[in-house]
Amino acid sequence: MRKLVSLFILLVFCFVQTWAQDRTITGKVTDENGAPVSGASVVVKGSKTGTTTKGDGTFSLNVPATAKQLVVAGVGFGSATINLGTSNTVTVSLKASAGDLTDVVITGYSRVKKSEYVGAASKIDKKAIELVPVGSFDQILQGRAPGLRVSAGSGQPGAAASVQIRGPKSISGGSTPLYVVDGVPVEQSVFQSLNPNDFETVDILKDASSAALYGSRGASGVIVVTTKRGQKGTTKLSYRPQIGFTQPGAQKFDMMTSSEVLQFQENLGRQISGISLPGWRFSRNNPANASLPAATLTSYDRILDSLRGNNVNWADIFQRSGRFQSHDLSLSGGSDKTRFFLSGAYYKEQGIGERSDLTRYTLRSNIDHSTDKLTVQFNNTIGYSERNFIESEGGVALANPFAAAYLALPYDPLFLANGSVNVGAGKVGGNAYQRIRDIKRYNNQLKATGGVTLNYEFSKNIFAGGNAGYDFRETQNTTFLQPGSFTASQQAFPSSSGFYSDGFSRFFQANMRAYLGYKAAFGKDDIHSINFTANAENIFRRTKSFGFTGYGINTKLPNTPAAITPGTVDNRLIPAVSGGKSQREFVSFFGMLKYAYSDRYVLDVTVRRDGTSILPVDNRFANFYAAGFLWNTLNESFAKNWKSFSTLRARLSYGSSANAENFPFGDFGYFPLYGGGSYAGLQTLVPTTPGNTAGTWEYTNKANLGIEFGLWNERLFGEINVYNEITRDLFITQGVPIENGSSFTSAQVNAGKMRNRGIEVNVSYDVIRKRNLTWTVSGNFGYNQNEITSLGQEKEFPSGTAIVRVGLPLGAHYVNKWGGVDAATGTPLYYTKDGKLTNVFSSADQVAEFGTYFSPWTGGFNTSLKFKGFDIAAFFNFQAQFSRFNNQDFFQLNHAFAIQGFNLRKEMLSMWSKPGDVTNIQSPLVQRQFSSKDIQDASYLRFRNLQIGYTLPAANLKNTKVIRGLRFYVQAQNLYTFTNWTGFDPEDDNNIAAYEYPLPRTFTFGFNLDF
Amino acid sequence: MQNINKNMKRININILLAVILLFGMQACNKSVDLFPTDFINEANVFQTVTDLEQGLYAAYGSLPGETNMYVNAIIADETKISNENRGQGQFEFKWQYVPAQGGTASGTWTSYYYVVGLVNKELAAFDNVIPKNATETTLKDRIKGELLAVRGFAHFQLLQSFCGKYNPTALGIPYTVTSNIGARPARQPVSEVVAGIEKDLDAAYNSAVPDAPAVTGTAGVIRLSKSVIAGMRARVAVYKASGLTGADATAEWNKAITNANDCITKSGKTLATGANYANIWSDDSESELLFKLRRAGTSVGTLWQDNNGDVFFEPSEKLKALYNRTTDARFAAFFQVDPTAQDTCLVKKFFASSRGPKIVDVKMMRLSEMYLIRAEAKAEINDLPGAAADYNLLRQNRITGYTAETFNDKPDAIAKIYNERARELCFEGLRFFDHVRRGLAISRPSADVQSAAWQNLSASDYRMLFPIPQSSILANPNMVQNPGY
Repeated sequence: MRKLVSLFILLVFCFVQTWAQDRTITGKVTDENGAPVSGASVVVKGSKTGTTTKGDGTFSLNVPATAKQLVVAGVGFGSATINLGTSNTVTVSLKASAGDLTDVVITGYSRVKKSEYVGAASKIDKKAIELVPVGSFDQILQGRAPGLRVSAGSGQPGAAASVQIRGPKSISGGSTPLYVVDGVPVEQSVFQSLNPNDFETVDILKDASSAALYGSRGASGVIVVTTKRGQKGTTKLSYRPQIGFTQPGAQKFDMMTSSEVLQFQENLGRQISGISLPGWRFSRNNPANASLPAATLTSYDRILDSLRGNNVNWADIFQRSGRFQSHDLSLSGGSDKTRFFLSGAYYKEQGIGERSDLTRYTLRSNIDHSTDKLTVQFNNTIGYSERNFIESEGGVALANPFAAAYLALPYDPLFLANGSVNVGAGKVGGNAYQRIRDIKRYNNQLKATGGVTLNYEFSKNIFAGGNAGYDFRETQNTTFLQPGSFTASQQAFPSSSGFYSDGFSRFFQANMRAYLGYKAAFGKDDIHSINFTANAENIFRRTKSFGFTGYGINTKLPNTPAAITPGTVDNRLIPAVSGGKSQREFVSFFGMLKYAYSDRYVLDVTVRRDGTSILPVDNRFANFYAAGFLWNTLNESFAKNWKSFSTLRARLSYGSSANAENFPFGDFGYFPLYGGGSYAGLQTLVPTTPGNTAGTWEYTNKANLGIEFGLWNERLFGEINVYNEITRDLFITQGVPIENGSSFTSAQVNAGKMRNRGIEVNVSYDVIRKRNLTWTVSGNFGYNQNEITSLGQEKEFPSGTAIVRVGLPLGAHYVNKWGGVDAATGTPLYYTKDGKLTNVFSSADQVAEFGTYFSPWTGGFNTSLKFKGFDIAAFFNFQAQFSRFNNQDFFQLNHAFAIQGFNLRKEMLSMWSKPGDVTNIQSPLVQRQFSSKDIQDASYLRFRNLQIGYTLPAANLKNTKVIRGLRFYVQAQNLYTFTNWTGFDPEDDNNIAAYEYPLPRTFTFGFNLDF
Repeated sequence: MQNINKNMKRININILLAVILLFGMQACNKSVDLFPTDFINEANVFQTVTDLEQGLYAAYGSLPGETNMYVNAIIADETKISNENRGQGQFEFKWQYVPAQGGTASGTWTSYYYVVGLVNKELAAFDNVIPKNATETTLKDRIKGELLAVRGFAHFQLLQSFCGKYNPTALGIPYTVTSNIGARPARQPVSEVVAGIEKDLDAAYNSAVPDAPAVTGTAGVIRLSKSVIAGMRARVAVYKASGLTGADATAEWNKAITNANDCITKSGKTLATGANYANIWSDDSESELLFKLRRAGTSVGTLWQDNNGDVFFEPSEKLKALYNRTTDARFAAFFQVDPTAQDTCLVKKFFASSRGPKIVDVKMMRLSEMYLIRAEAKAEINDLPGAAADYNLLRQNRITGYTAETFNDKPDAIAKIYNERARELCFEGLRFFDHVRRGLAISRPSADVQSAAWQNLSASDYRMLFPIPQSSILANPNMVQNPGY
């Protein structure tokens, strides 16, 4: 023991080295405008020798003769590296940064300087997130980081987007990244109650060394949110209100007018027998009318004239301009030891669909406390939100107002002469309009997320700490049908008596981590340094749901459970009750080792052992590992003269991870299960799922090579990453020979293999960098190539409208290839599998030649210009080379739906009606089939955001004594979309467009007032 | 020295932390052992005798009796395609079944092995259930017997469908007595399959299963009895005997006689006449009925006619010609002129009950079959008077003004008994199997087919054996397809 202690002491002494100090450098640090920067750190590069600047920005530092460079950094500023020449005086101008986290990668477990980070990560700064008028923060990330594919599936206020990092990672499960807010993993895709204005940065972790920290949960990447924290100094109060409106975007298709509908109906009537639509029924060309008296024919003409005279624009009735407002108030400040950030916000967005909106109230308190040895962070946020919904979103259903708006006939008026809504059989528009009034659908959600992080330095070398946090969410979904209403009268009993339905779901997840660490530097000039932590982590989740639907609503008590009539055998108003609960748990032990040699090389190794309750006992524990290497090239002696370069780094990483966050089979999917049944009036027990007692993770091994560069003092900087990711053990549905006594013919097995490989680039360039004028252009893109490389014993299997096939990317459309319309007969033509034209539609001729709905190309670019107090920033994003089914086409270009009494698009007027007609619209005598005709290129470029602002000069505000800053701005979101897609919105998260709620165009005006 | 102490303290703290970490790890390892609250896990589904009984009911309820009925009727010569048929069952009728289609012929593979799986899963958990009292002990033994009999019966149905005439060394099917989703069983020789069936039926017979068909609630004779198990043994014996010769055959014919006797005796039932007989087909009487599958839906009636009134299959002219329409009570009981459709005839035998149109139970075994089995077996061992006694007894109960017949010789007896089986047991899922076991060609008169191609199927044609479904061929590398497919 004594020996050990002696050795320990020796080691400690070795680390404390003294420098030969032989010259003094004095200087001044200023901001870009020449104002002094106090408290900035000035450090000799590669050593610990340093000082901080005084109130006037000056400093004085003794440096060794060997010192070549100084690194200067200030809170709220970027850092600058100054070459020491012969002069002993330096002046340093620091560029303001978005925060002091710009050059730091936050992994959720630690903060690592970008110059020491071995992985591939992108950072999205608060500037891109703040004050964007979008309810769910994931939608704001669209186009902001390379390799991040964000697709808003809905423009309904508060709807979450579908987010993928570096391509899909699963066939049966999802590929949504893991979200971590201030070290607390939070529920995926539930952000309606989070305030993005509280976010300081969002780090997108993509490669293995980033993901390995999360082991079994990291395969789909990690999105780490860091919220704002108080800064030492004056207490600051900031008020940021915003008002505006939402508006439907432009459409790229035209529906028929009343006279066109009637003309089309007449055309149908000529070709098909049994048409009773008014355009044919009252037509003089209808042979059935030939023998009618002239008076009757005249009255028919009048009927047609009156119908032609009605031209209801149903889209205008169901879509509106919604109001928008938000208020954001924050207070921050602190002393040397304790700092705080408090915020409260109100957000209200009305959607472009009648009845849809989001109202949100949030509170946040972040407190930091630090002493010499202890640092404590406390974060807590609570949010409450209410959303009203349209019905049947994304469904080709008459209850979906976005569908009804285009299916409704323009000659049916909305109101009858007596002022009542025109409802009844076939009155598509009137029924949907009435339905919006008779049914309420809304949710309210309470979400609270919080955590504590501790770190204690026992000595210079040994430290320990941990964090604990929770994520709690309760959502209540309500549907209410007004008794006695028209909509209720269309329902079967007992719904016809009105109903009130509540569904509660609760999510609770807690995480705890403890670690013990050792760090040291040794060797000459501390040339070696290591940092090692041993960690134990535990995450558990409890979920519960409960729902009821009660009937017999008391008309005097609308929209409350109190209105439900208790059910009896006689009144048959028996309420329906449902519910369930579940749980899962993770435990992990992991070690993280970082070794740095000089300021040139960093090696980072993570080894992790994860256990989980969601896998069968035998496969419950699995090991994960990752290694990453960083080379700071500029610090090599041979790069001494590369004066243009300010940054040059290469990174290489490899490691393993798995897709636990998107596990496709729930918490207990591996159990073979039984369910109840009945036979001859007797209860039975039957196996319902074979489970998967051999199930394991879908593992992804990731390799990444990256280069980061900065030129001309970072005037041009960027990063290029190439990666290759192999996902194995993908769950696929495999045939089971039932003769083995299993009673199942298929089971989920880990047999598939998939590859994602690609390149990501982001570049930023300061075109003009003058004191009063700066102009920056930056952009990024990612290209991801996805391919299924194996499906075990299967070669392919259909999956919805797509086929999962070896050699194709996931999401490959699979359908008959459209071959045009035969001008002689009007018959639609299709290509056979062998490429021959045929008029026989056969599912055997389906081919997969139409690409995939997962866009390989994603990216964005923005430009910002600052002139004196004025600033203007424009941001575009794009997705390219992907295609989607436009189900609207199938309904709007289909004579069968006209026969059923729906409106169609103008193109239908060119429908084939006689031999020789050259058209793309087939004869109404043949069934319209779903084919490649309905697939469209969904590539788009979207003018996502434009902001124009003016900041009052500080000098003008001096006299107020209270106001420290004031900026006015106007902004527009989703200003314009360039696309060939003819549906509502090319941006979506799925294979097929079916009247999804499109993204709104939003205009706002606001100001930031700082006290 | 003070420094050293300080450092000692630090190290102690570190050790303490490490120990805490280790304890934490131990605690954590256990915490991932969670169990579902909302599902019935296979590991604990069978805990009480009541659970076992519910598992047994699932097995009974899953027996695809109507599929057998349908396949035997349309592949053999009991039906003809109606004008209103839109493709239903035509692949089977025209002998165009292929493995990839799945289809009804191959479908029985999946349906019967599904039942085998239910039985095997339950039997695997069987010993864990401790009966609470003597009654439960008996009930548990009875359930086990029923499960084994169901398993034997399922394999026997598969054997007749996929393996053809009895040949001990021919390729059989897997006789599956376990449930293992990872297993890829190979086909066993027919002798092993038959041994498996006999073993299960023997064990079932020797269990606490009641002698006579027991009535369950209002559902009727939906559970197995010794009587029915004896009847199954008789069927197996007949199947074997038909493929054997000499002393081997005689032994099996004798077994058939013994078991048919046993079935008849233990059943406590007698052959029905008049209204009693007619009521069997509307589920109003269970006289003569030994075992049936209860049906609450229209699965049986819709085999012949859909809910819109379109008739898919009519009874064949060949079958109708077998009856004396005036004296034979069966003609009116089995066939119905459809007043709504243009067709002359409907399968009335399995068409409707007092519970509703097209809702009718699947009759799996009736007493009259045992008289016919005994008659055939007696004829085969040259007991012609004995054979004629059974033959005449049955016919007396069916035909008004019947005069007893005598058989000229063995072939005459067999031919007459065979015709009587066709008359008495039509649509009961036996006709095609009778052709198979006897090695008889299927022949249909031109009145029953639209094309000569569908008239004759020789006994040696590969299509006398059904194709094993493609799904099993693909999923099971050890599975061998029947020749010709």
